[in-house]
Amino acid sequence: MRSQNVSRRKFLQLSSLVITGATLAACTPPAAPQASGGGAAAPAAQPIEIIGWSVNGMDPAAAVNKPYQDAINAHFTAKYPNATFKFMDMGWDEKLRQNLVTALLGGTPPDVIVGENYIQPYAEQNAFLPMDDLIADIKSDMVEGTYAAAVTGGKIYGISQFTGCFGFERNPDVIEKAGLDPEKAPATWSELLEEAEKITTAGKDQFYGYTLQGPVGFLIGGILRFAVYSKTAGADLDKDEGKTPWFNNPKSEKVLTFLRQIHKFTPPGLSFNPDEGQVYSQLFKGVSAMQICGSWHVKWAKDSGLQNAKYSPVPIPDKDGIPATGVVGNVILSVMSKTKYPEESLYFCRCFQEDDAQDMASSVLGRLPSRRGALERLKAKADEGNKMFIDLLLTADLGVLPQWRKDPQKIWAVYNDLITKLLTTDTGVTQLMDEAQKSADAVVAAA
Amino acid sequence: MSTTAKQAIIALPPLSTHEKWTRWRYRHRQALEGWLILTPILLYYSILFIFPVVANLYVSFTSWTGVYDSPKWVGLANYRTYLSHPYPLILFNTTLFALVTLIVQTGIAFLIALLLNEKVFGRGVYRALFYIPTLTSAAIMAQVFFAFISPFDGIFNAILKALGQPIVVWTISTGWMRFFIIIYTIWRGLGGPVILLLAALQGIHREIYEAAMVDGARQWALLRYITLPILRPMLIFVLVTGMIASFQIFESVLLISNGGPSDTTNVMLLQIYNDAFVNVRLGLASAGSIIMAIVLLGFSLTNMRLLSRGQAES
Repeated sequence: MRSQNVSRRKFLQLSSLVITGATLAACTPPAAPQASGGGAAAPAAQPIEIIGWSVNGMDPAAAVNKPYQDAINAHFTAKYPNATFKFMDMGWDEKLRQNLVTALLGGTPPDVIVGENYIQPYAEQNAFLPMDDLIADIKSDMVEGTYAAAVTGGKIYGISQFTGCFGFERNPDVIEKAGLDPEKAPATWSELLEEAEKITTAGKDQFYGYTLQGPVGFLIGGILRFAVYSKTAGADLDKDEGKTPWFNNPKSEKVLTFLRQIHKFTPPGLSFNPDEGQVYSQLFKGVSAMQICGSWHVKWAKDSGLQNAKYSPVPIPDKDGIPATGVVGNVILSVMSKTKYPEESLYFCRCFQEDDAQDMASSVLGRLPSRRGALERLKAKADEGNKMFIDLLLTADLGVLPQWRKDPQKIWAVYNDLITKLLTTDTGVTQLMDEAQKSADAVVAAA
Repeated sequence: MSTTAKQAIIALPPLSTHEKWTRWRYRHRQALEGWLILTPILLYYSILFIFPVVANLYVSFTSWTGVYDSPKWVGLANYRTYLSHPYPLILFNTTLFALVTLIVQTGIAFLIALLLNEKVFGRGVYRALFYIPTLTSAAIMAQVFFAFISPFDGIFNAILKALGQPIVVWTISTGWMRFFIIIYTIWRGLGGPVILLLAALQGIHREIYEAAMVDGARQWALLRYITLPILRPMLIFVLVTGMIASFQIFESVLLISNGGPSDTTNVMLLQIYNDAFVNVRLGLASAGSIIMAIVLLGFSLTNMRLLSRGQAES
């Protein structure tokens, strides 16, 4: 057999051809699926895939959630037999937003995304599709506070998959040790302060009256709870739907004064511990008697060994107090405006509002449903703790945190700074409020 | 050239395009081959290095959220923002952490490398021990570290309580948090310089020391006149790479203090991250990264110049 020599030039020419071909092949986007909805409708036989980021309970790897996934998929494919849903875990909160910004820059956002506290500013930049028409027939049955964080410019840009709210939690064993009636929940701030003081005095450095999560860095876990007290006092933290911080709202003075007072009855050092789980689990361990809690605490307390925890509405100011709370753990589903499948993606979100999916939010996912009908059904069979939270969702004034349009991290840092000084110095409350307002104004002006 | 020859050249028929191309290709054949060979790496370098840097520079002069808007030209506005609170404080924190960490870490690493270079029992185990914090996940190491400084039930406060002293709420103390971040960063990053300096130390021939000792040199003189000059190239490497790494301090701040209290431990990379992904101000974040690059370049050049001048003198 005759061997054939390849010249250097020939080799280089061939190599460059191969490299160019490979580069072009690598850079060519995959064949785009046929558009539907906004564009030409997809043929029925054309399979399409809806990509959803971090949609709770929809990770196929979590076999325990399979009944929930099956129910959602059954509703979805009943209307769109050619469509499938693909779950992608892209994290939560900061990590999720980081991934979203990166995907938007790269032009590869998902079809459906979850959120809790960033929907409004993104919606104002046309990132999401409005859902008003999608939920027109069920809107009256949806708890308004659960989608309030997704409303801007009079339109709804997201709907709640499941929800939760804040209540008030007590450890009856600790309260009893202090010689107080564990069955009687403090209803007002003065009652709470009085009880917390008595428990702390009786505790003699072994147990304390109250747990307060303070500010650490830019974290907003503490702020979520302070906002509940602000809501009960009618002290808004913002003006104009999150556009202007209002840290020197005159109504906030009594809220901040109350926080400074109650902080005296907390376990030393605990308020500034950045580990939220460690802060709130002290009540289950008998170190603290009372605290603000999320609706998931009912299960958490039992799992932690406190079987008889008591739940009640959040105490309100003695004068002009408003029975109010705040939504928390409220997961909102939104559809990205650049989705290739707007109709299918919107309908996919709607599937979570079906009765069986709402019921399974509790039975499978261990969370509270967002629709009144489902909450009523759940209430009939719920234990006392869960009943209290369901009642709050059905009746209380539900607040959501402001979503600052400009530099949210810096504005929350200003508020955290205000709370840090409030809890660690003797500076006058109004002076601290004015200083914080000045700083927040400077942040907004600089942005 | 004679007139006849000139006339002969003029009389030649003009070349066709194909012929011109063939001649040009022949004359430049080596250059063409060179460029062809370089093309993949040039493409790679352009796409992954040059383009991002140029794009970043452009974005730093714009206002851009990256959502569904286009960058708007704002000139130097993003750079001017770095003159107002909290950015000067953030720059100060970054420089403070970087310099203190670099100096202390390199000093300690050098001492440890000297000790590990001696023939001691279990030397391999000691080397591994110093390198374990570098290899372990930052989040896990932060948890371990936080077990000491937790204001509620941390080990330090437990000791204070046992001694009958009041507890210290470390997380709201600027001084303590800065101190802890520096300690954590040194602890985490010590392994790398130790290994590098130890490797350099082991490359020094014993005969050099022995010859100096014959001439009457003592330990200090051996270190001053033999070890340090020979180690200088590695020291330059350790200092320059250490300087870059120290300025890029991020995870220790994020995991331990999250920039608090009141931005007093906030650093450039954390703020760039927050500006980009929380505040969604890509222009400002890009300006921050350009400023970081300039500061780093300045420090690195100064560092290299100082050390190379010392080398020339010695």
